[in-house]
Amino acid sequence: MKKSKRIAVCGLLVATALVLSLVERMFPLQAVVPIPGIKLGLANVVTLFALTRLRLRETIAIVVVRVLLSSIFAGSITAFLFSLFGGLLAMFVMKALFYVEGYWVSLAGISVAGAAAHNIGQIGAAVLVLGTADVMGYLPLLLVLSIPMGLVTGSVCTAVLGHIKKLHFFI
Amino acid sequence: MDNKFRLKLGDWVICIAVLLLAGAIALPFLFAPSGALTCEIKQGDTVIRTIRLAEGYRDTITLTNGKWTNVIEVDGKNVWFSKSNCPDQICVHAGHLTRAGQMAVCLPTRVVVRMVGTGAQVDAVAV
Repeated sequence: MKKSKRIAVCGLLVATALVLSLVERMFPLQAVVPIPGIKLGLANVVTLFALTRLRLRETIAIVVVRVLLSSIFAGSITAFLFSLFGGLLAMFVMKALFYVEGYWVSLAGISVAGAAAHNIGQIGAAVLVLGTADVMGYLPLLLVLSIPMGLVTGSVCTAVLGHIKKLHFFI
Repeated sequence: MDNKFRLKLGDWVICIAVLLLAGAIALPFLFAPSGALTCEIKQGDTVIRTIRLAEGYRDTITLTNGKWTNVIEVDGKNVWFSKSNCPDQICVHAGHLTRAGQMAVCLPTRVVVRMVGTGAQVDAVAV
């Protein structure tokens, strides 16, 4: 892929992630499960997709820019820190798991691990910001919920990759 | 890359590992004693109030941080955020706290309301 095309693809993916995080805000998940930071994690689809098709540093850039922009549009400094910790930890865990992807682990498992890592990163940031380990009480439920959410994002990413292959849009 | 959505062995291992981790973190919170209750209200690092909860005790606490304001009400062994002008209202949605180990957090005001039992200190285990 040419450099200009890579940059354009990164921009497209950031835009997609922002739209996805807008869409997932329409699901009133926090009213059902009153936990801060509970999300479908649709933006994880983009990270997962970027990891399969782009270089590591480009993926890091996408995650950082996405988190920065989404907290400028709606959010606070604390929300920015939480998302950044969560997003980057999720990305690195998924990157590590991609080395064993194929025979043993599929995108679904990687996505579940990413969702769990995202929650761990968020709560870790919350522990640092609030200066108390009390917020750890939220973590068990978040982790259990990250399994269904991770499976959903994983299946979405599998479906998208299948279609992208037919389009010959990416190399 | 396999385009069919099928769980492989490693995927199950990951799911089970996540569940085990959740269980391990939940254990110290589940076994928190629910005898005599104390309610601890913290804002950031400072403890604002520590209330020994008993039937018939009523109190209303108002805490502010910048433009955000929380109203916390105490009635007997119930503690809850009755009002908050923060955008997400997560503290209000957390509802009534009645058992040791439960808590409600408001991030904009940095307020943590925590129910503490008289037995073992939970957060010592959780750290």
